[in-house]
Amino acid sequence: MSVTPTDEVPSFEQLLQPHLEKLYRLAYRFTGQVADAEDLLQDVLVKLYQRRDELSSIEDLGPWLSRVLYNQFVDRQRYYARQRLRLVGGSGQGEAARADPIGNLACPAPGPAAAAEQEFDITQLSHGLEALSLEHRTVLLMHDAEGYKLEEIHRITGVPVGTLKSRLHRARGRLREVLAGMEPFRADRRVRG
Amino acid sequence: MTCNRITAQLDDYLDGTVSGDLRADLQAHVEACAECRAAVAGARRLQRVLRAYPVEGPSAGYFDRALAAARQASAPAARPGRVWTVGISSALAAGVAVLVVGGLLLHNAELGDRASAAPGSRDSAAAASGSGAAGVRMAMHETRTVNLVFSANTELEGVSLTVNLPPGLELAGYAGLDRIRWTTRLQPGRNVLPLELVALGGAGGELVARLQHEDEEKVFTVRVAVI
Repeated sequence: MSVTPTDEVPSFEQLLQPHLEKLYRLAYRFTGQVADAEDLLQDVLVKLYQRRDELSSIEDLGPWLSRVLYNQFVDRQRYYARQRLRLVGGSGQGEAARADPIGNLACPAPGPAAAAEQEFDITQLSHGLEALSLEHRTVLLMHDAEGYKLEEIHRITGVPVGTLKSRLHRARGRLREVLAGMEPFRADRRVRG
Repeated sequence: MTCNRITAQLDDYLDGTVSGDLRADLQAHVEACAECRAAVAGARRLQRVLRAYPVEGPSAGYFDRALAAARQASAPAARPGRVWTVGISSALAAGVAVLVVGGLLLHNAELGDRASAAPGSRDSAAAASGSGAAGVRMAMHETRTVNLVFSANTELEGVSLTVNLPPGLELAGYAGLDRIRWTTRLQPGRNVLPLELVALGGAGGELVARLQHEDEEKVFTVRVAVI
C-alpha cells in the first residue's frame, strides 16, 4: 500500500515554519530587541523539539505556541531578574545607543501606513513605552500594536480578561501622560473637568 | 454627559465596545466639546502609531538556523554546539580583555592585552583589581556564578562565543550540554556575561571560552575545581 503525502507525519520544521514569523513578532514585542527576540524564540524551539511528537496532535497550534513563548518569556524574566546581562561602564557609541535604543532601528522602507505617521517620533514613543511596567507594556503592544483581542491575550497569558482590560486602560493612560509633554503629542492634552 | 465621563469611557469608545445610547451620547459630546474632540483625536492617533510601531526583522537566515539548532541541541550523542543569539554589549578587537570574577570576588584574570576595567560595581571593581590565572573552586552540587567580562573599544558584528565545559559541570538552564555557542553583535563598552555553573560531579577541569570574529580568535581558560 502506498503512503500518500497526506498520511505522512509533518516534520518539526513543517509544523513550525508557518508560525515562526508570528512568534518572532511576538517575541520582539515582549523583548524589544532583535537579539533578545531571537534568543527567546531559539529557547522555545529547543524546548518544542523535545516535545515534537506532541505537536502534530495539537488542534490549534498557533495560540498554543504563543502561550509556550509567553511562558518562556516569563521564565526568562525571572531568571534575568537574578542574573542580568549587564552593561558595565561603556562610552561613546554604547552610551548613545542606550540613550536612544530605537534610534538605530532599521526601517528602510516604511509602508503606506508607516509613511502616513511620519509626524510621530518613534523614538519618543519608544521612550514612552519604556516608562510602562512590563505587564502594561506587554498587553498594550499585544493589543494595540499586534491586534490581539483581549480574549486571545487571555488564552496566551492566562491573565483574566478583566485584569487585562484594566492593565490596558492603565497602560494607555500612562503612555498618554508620558507623551503629553512631548511633541507632537503636546497639543493633545488629557481632558480636564 | 461630561468631560469626565469621556475620560472614563475613552478606551471603550476607541475600541468600539460601547453601543446604543451611551455611544450616541459620547459621540454628541465629542462633537460639541473641542477639548474632548482633541483628546479623542490624540488617542486615535496614538493607536495608529502603535499599530505602525515597527518590528525589526530577525537576522538573515535566522529561522533556518534556529530550527536546525533546536534539532542539534536535542541530539544527546553528538552534543553539538548550540547557536544562541544574545544581546551582549561589549567588544572584541585587538585589545580584548576577558576578566573572570566569581560572585564574591573569587579570582580574576586579565587575559587580553589591553584591559579597560572601570570600577563602579562590585564585580567590575573586582575585575579591575588584578590579574593572573583564573580559577574557581566549587563544592559538589553547588551552583556558582562566574562572570565573563568583555572589554574593548569597537563594535563588531557576528562575534561567536563558545563555552566548553569540563565533565561534571553544566550551565543552569542548559542541562546536558557541554558546549554552548552564542553569536552576538558586540558594542563598545564593558559587559558582564554571568554563567551560572552547576557542579554535578567529577573533579572539575577547564572551562574554555573561545571568542571568534572573522579570522581572529581569543581563547581563555578558567580552572574549575570541584571539591
